[in-house]
Amino acid sequence: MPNRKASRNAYYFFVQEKIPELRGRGLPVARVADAIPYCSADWALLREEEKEKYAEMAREWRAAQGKDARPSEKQKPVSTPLRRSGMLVPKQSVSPPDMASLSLKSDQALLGGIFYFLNIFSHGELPPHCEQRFLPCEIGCVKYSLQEGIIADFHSFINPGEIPRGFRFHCQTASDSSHKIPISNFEPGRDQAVVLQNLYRFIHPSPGSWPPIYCKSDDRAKVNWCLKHMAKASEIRQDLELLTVEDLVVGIYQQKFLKEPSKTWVRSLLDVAMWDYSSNTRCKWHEENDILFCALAVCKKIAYCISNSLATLFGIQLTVAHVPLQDYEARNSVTPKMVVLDAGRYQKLRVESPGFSHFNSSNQKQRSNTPTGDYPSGMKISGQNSSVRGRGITRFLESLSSSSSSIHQFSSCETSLSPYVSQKSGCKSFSSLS
Amino acid sequence: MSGRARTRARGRARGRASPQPAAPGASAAPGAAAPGASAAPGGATTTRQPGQILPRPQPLPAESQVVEPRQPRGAEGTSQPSAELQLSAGLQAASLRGNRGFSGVFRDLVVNTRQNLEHVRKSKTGSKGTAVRLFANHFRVTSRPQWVTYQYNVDYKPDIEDGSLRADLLKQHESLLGKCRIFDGNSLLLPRVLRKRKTEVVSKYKEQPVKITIEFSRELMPTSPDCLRYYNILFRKILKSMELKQIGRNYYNKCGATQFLDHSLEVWPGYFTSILEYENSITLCADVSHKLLRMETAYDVIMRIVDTPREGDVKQRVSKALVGLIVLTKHNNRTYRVDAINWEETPKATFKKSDGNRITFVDYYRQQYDTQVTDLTQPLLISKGKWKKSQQDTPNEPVLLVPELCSLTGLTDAMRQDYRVMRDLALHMRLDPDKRQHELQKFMNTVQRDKTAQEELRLWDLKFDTNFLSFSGRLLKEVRICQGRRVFNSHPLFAEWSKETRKGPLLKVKSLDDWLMLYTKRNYGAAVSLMQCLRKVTPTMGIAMRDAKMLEVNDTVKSYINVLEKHASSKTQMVVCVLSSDRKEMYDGIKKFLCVNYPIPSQCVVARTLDKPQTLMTIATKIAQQMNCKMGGALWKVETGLRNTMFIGIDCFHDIVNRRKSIAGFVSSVNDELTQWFSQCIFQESGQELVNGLRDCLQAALKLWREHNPFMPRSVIVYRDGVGDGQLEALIKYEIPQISSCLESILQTNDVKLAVIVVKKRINTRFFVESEGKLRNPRPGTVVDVELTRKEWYDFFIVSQSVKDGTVTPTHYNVIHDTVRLSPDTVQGLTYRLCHMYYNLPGVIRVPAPCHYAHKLAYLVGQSIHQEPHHSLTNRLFYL
Repeated sequence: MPNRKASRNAYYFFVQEKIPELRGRGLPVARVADAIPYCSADWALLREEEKEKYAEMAREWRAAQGKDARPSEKQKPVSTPLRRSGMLVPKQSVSPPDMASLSLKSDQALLGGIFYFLNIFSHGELPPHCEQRFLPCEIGCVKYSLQEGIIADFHSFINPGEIPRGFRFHCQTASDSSHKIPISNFEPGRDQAVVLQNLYRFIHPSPGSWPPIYCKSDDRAKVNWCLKHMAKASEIRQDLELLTVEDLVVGIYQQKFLKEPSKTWVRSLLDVAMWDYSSNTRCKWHEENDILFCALAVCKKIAYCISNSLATLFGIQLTVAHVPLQDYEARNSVTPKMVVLDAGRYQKLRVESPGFSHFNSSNQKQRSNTPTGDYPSGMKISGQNSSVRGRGITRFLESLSSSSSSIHQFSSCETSLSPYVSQKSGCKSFSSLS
Repeated sequence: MSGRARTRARGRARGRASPQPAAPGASAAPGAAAPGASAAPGGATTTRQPGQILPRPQPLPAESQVVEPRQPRGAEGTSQPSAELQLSAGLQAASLRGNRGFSGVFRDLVVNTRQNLEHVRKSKTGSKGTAVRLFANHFRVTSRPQWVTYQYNVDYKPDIEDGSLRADLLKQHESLLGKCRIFDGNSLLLPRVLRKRKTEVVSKYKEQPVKITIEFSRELMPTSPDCLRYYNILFRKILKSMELKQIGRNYYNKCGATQFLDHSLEVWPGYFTSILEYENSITLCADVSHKLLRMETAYDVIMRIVDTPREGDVKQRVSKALVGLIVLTKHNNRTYRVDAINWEETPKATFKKSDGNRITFVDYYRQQYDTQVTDLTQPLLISKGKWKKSQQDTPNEPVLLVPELCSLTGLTDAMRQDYRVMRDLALHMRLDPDKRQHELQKFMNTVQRDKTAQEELRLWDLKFDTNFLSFSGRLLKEVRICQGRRVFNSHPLFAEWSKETRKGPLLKVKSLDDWLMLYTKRNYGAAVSLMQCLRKVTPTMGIAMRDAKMLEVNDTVKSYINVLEKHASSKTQMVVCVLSSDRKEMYDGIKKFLCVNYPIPSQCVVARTLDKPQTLMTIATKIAQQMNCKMGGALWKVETGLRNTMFIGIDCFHDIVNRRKSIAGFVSSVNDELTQWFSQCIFQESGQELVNGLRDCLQAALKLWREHNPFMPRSVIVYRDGVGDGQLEALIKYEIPQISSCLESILQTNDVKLAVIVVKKRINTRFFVESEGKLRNPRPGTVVDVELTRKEWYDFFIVSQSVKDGTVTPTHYNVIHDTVRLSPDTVQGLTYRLCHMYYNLPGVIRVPAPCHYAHKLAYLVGQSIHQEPHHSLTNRLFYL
């Protein structure tokens, strides 16, 4: 960006000092940038002490910069992809009357701004000489604003149509290595035209203007191609513009801090595996089949990433709509000592492996300290609704080791506690124990 | 010959610029058998320009490169799918690097790394250990032509693609050329000069005239390395004349097939051969190879599915069963991958032949191969050939195949799990040294007895010794293993010490205080018994273990991760997951989470392995050891004899199936005892073998070294795996300067002591020892640095591991750079010792431990986590 203040380092000051000399040699050097190529050799010849002089100058400069960094923030906002598209300030967002400063006002507009994240999955990518490059099979779209988080989502499977002849294997392997959607005869796969119509209905453009739609830059070609392809099939004219999430992030960042973030920062921001398995992220089918790759999840994860790193910068309280918060809460409130054991299973095990009696008894004391009262609370929050559960393994182990001395007492207590064990197996264990 | 074939295969994947020849016919061609009139083989004709300066007629020394603008044939993008492939592929890889001044197929071997290594210029043989008499599967070439030979380029007009047809057309002029000739499809080697520099003759092919131009290229001295190429071609010709069929690179004997009727499998015996120059002589390396076929055609599979009525679309089921399989068409011995099934067409459909006529598949096979297609209603199989990144713009005409003629190859998963099948096959295919010798001797005798073969060999005055090459190797002393206060030797025969290591405390133990064990409901029993066993085995190892937190999960990745998120804390040292199956996604998901998001060392174990009570203790011991390593403990150590030396291992992982990025694993030692290792991986473009981002790795590695040691390392020894012979030059040109300049700038010295040793595992050379009249595998610790090494290299072989059955494969080491000035004895001993340091096995492995660690790391990252592991794990062996 032109207005970005290049950081001045030691070399900069060295070159600056050299400029008159270079001009003296008749070289056309107007600015430091022009002179850089002529100075590198000289710079390399400098000793560390000599370089230190320039490094000091650079430090001073930086210190001076730091002081007047504040006023520079008031500079006019730079043009960003957001602004260019004219979508940043949606009409429905009402700015609050309290407009203390310019930046706050634009903040508010930004916060209320609605973005759509879109992704379409394909059964692999076909070589460039093919007419059909992709086979769309799943679509996910998320309506999002910084303020509200995810407002609504849209997901559908798509009938990819006939696989081009000779590419079945190629498509199959591509699918198998990622989203695992069957390449043909997949029940939930909807007709392309219907899906597209539904998508349009979901995005619901106000007449004449489409809201901004974003996808990751790596996916952009694919999504664009698929949209066009689907539009062709359905004969719906589509004029939505696909922008990249990376640009959006840069835009928001610039809006807030008036400087451009580093590319690596943006990439690392979006490349997060943290929510890969969070609840309510993948579509139902992918969640049930325990498959990571899901078009909806990709969109939602973009939303999570932006919420997590950008929305917090605006001081927005993150809600369930921003990030999968329920998982966080659960994590914090569970008693860490929770252990789960099914008493019924224990009985069976006991029959199977008689080797249990030589237990290392040195650990007994420790274990007996574990309060057995811990687990009910943990169970509730963990949200697992297994009906047969209720004894901690610590308790089990403890009772086992003590059982060697008092088998009878132990086993009777065991049966009384586990109503799920059928009478028969209960009897069996008795006989084996006594 | 050592592992060249595979090396070449790697090289070819990138090096080959010209696309596979499109099968003849506009829409379809059966078996790509018909000679094609399609595009000229890449570059063969296009590189020629009229009015080139022709070489002078008088004989010139071969090395002086007579023809400047024109390369000798074989260097061009030939589309010969024959023996030449590997040779030309290697060449292309070389020529792509723009080094056109040289000539010769064996250019890559010309990389003379020894000349720069002053300290071994005189001798590179060591003396330590006891001498043993060894045999190898090499046969010395006792006699070869001692006269000058002449190389000619041969061109066809119109262009003929089929190699054997080219040879046939040339054969029509035997009176002119003489019987004594070697033709590789592009260039011709004659023992005498033709009268004219440029001879034009006309052959008849199917009543059509074909003009053949034979043009002088250069003359070859008998010492020229190019000669070897022609000897190889000659030998292949002989194999062909002995009724051996070429499949891929090797030759197989169809008639000698063994059938396994119970499993409906068929095994063809075959041979690998190569003639190459070694230390003192040229030898023929021969090895036994097997081709496994199913006695079942694609048609049988289709019919079986059609005949078993079940719900579901028949077409669907058929494509599920067949798509992705590799089939072999026996009429031309080619393999294809089934990419799709064409239900619209049958063998009655027609395709366009190369001469433009349309013909039905039925007629074609009857005419061409005398094969009758019986079922005229069967669908056709489509094979697309490979779609490579480099040639994605060229549409590849798919090949249509008749299912009836397609034999299936390879094992099904069901067969693989059937231990009877595997046992029978192993018995047949895994030859022990004695059987191997027997087979090879038989092969050499057939060559000696075969009349046509002898005639060919006589013409060129080529003779082979019929006995295995014999020479002397050395057996190094067993290595002493220190485990705490106890010291013991590795077992001299089996190269292992699992019993000893179990008896006492480990070298450096980490206590297990806070750890988790995750299991699914069904595997509760397995988890508890594992826990029990761990409790039994850990006290002897000296590990203080508290009980794990036992956590039940559902059998989904999400459930595992939720539970981990809830229960894992920063204090958690270890996570053990008892998995219900070896499902890859599950493993990948858990590993990714625990390596990237939430860095905790983890140990996964499939519940099935815990089922057997008799092996449970062993498994628990191993798990305990592994956990100890992953947490930063150490099991044992070996005295290397070097102080202040950093060892580095580098290996690459290429995801061939998904064409994702390649990953290079970098592992370096952190202390002198070699018990701790630093690890980092480098992501690079797919298929890239040479590592670029070494600088960062080295910097971080040295930083960590400095934290653990009072001084910077005085010398650095790099073991580099995963490079072929063809890439040595690039390695010397790019990677080594990168490493040394980086070391120079970090260590602030101009005198960096660096040694780089290239490790090669996949070689065809085998060693044997004789005892009690039988050949046996050499003992672990056998070193060979004579005879089968190369003059230009500072190289040696070590047999470090021990195998239970079959023949042991030695590992080849090549010291390509050495400013540490390691003597042969030192480097051999050192390498052998490092093979003892791999903590996942209480025994000796095939490669030095850093190499294998790097391999494991690259493999884990490339297969499962696809992301840079968390930095807090860099000093742990988490990838073990």
